Amino acid sequence: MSLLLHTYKQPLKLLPPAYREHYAGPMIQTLEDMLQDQQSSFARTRVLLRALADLPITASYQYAQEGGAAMNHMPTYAKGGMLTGAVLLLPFFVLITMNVIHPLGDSLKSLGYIGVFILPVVVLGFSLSLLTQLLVTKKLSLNLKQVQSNWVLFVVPVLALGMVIFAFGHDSVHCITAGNPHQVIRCVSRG
Amino acid sequence: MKRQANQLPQVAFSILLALSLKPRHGYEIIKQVEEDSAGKIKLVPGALYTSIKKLNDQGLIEELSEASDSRRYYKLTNTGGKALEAELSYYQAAVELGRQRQTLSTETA
Repeated sequence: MSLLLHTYKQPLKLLPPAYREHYAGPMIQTLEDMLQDQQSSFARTRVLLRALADLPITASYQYAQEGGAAMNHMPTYAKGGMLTGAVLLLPFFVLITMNVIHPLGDSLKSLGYIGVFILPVVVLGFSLSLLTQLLVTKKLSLNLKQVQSNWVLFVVPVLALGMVIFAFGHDSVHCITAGNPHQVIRCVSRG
Repeated sequence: MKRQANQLPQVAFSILLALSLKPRHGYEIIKQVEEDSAGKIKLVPGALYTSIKKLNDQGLIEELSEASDSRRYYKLTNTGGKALEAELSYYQAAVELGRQRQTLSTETA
């Protein structure tokens, strides 16, 4: 039975720290009581599997709750900064989605001028959201544990970073970083 | 009969109902809820403590500070008792209304 309990204890580490601190102990104790009440090892395994299957739902729900609570306590400028960052990422997201749904050849290049102007917007979105996140972390003096509870702060910067990596890893980007704006536009519009 | 905005979710209602008799710890709540629902609601620790946290935050239940063993016991608060009463009244009224309608439809048929 200790093996079954050990199997349950490991994924509990994925729960948000504040929730885990208060409820992980009772959760383990409750599962232990449940397992003790089962007659066969098959029944015990079934109880464990049900409990394990529920953990991702519990973890997601608790993270969402903590994210919502963190948003409520966040300064207005932080909410504004993150929202603006997210809005700035939207054109790039739309562009990529368009290319995935309807491939127009060589991704950004085929969209000509639009690609040139959208890439800097992505970088701006990333910079703004990162700056906001750094300011909030510093102002609220968040330690590592608190940062985990305030995961919502990182959503936009991480998404933005992903987009920047994707955008600058793309083969059309050399056109944008190559030289003067006239060359850039020619390069992109040539496809 | 107006449906109240603060009407409790089924699991929360079942937990309050389980705690209406006496304070209980986690597994006792699970067993009582299963018994009360005739086996229809089978809670696991994750779902149970998600609801317990919510009910605790809303002030409907509270943790007992002194327990006879290492387990954590929960009891209904006054607010929780009132919420349960309101919920039961709602269901009672709904059942009575349903019965009246059933009788009416049988008579007219």
